[in-house]
Amino acid sequence: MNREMRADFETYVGARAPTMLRLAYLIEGQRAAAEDLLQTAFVKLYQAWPRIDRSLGADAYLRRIIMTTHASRWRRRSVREVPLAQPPEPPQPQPPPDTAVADRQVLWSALGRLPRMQRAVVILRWYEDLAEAEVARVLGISVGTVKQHNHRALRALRLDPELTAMEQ
Amino acid sequence: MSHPDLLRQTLHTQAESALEGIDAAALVRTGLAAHRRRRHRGVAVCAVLTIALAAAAAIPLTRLARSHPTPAASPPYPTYASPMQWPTRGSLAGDKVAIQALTASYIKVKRVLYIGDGPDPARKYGILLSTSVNDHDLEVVLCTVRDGATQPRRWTCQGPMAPGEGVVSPSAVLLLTGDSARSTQLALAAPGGHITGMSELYATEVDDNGQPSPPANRPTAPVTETADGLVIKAGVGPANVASFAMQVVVKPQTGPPVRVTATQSLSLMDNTGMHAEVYWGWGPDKRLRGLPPLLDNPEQNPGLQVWARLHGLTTSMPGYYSPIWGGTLADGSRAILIQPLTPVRISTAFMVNPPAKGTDDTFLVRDVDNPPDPDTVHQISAYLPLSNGRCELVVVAAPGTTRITYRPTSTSSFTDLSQPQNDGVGRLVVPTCDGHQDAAIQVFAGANRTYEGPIDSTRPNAGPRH
Repeated sequence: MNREMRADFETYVGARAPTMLRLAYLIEGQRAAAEDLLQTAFVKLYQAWPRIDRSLGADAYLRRIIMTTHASRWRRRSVREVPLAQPPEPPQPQPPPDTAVADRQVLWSALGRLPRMQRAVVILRWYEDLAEAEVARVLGISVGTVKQHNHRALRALRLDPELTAMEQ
Repeated sequence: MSHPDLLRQTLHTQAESALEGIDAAALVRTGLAAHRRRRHRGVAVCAVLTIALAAAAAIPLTRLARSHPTPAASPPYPTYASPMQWPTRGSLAGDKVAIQALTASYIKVKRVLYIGDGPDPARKYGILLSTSVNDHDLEVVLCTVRDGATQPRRWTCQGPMAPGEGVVSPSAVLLLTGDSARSTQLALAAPGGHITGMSELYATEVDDNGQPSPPANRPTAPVTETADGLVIKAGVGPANVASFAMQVVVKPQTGPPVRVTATQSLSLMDNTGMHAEVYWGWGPDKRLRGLPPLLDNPEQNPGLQVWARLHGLTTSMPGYYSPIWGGTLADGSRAILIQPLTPVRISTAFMVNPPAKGTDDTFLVRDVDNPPDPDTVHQISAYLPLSNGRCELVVVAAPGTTRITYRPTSTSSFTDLSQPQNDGVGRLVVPTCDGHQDAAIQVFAGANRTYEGPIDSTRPNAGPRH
């Protein structure tokens, strides 16, 4: 990679690392894992930097790398994800007793119980506001499968006992 | 606050919390520096491993290629530049109905390469080229169906879930699909060629420092072609590896053997073990049209609210995608056109509520199988029963439709339905619900006639379903 490309990459890191850390955190659900994922993804992006068409925007590549890296790491874990009643690392500092905050905590907890791909689709659709076709490209699945995951995730959230109790 | 608002707010709040006390850019730079240090250390090790991998992979394949008897010569084929030019092969290659059913079972099919027998004598196999993911790159797709049931919908198709899992080359097409424990290897040689060797899956693992482990090169099993040039092996593969690959030796019609490799470097299976099944809908991306009565409350989860209002929300029921159209019929019944989502497939259905004849239950008036390409659907139409014994013809045409005409019998002429309003919905009350087998409609978008044919519910197997 020549000096110009390296400078280009440095600029991109400065501009986009915080945004992508947010995405990584939503995907992983834990800060330490999110930081690992971010580092790994940017290393892969660095290796691919000379080859990618940056006129089309590097964000799409990076999102794809984050998702595939997450999938690969998830597959390699000897102990697969276990849904927990509470997220293992609740955000710090502890929120004040506020109804809206409590609602968000319950929903965040429910999001953590979604299957991995459903959670990924929900995050890309509802946080990143990507179109279904774009989500499909990022995850390497068909548009129909994106729709199906989104549908199932929303249904699971709607039927989640804690969320139901919260509404009542 | 509605669920979508809460969902968005929760995601944004949680995302912001990830940045508290962290300099993300510094974190990335630290990671890159560590990577560079590791890379310098690992260059020599990688070189040795690469040589070992190449040698280890080559020996068994070479041995196999020597030991495997050369198949009998096939009839000569021309030399094709691309698999897109290959003729359809297989025992059902002359069966146009079967080919049509196969192509209707997947999206954006560009070529049927094979249809016929395979390793399981109780099934038929189809191999397609499709552009389903991005409209440009060709994908290899493997479809299977129980023998004797080669109608549309019965085929189950599986394409690559990530780039690299399928290979389209002039010598052969390969597909390596499924998860690592249940993968399927497929190799189809170019016409006139043969698969003379196939490695078992060989796996590589990458340790926490990014270093590849020595490849676990498995003994090569003898290859038996299930048909000329076709090898399919299912249920193979090591578990818990970061990547795996296969290599085949292709003996072309002329010239020396060629090696082709497919690699699966990741799996996007979710933790329910679900494959990337083909679900394709006509409606969800289209905006909802029609009159408002069914939609007087904002939809929180598209489709589910309507479902819940009509059926009561229970977990055992199938789900629905976004409704495509909703309106009030001549007798005050409410109707929607919606896509049920079942574990098997998606259909398009008219639902009427309350039902015109009797029970308190909502029923599907008819369903329409989804086509392989939603853009080819120009109308969905049905005779919807009214409470007074009459029927209302409802034609919901694709957005952009400017005119719909109707012909009640084959001897009558087409007349305009009410000028399409609400983006192309034509309606007409008729005295009876039966005897419309010869009726037809035409759909126009400007000067273009986009559809001419029967009303959907006059087709075989369509009709009220309770």
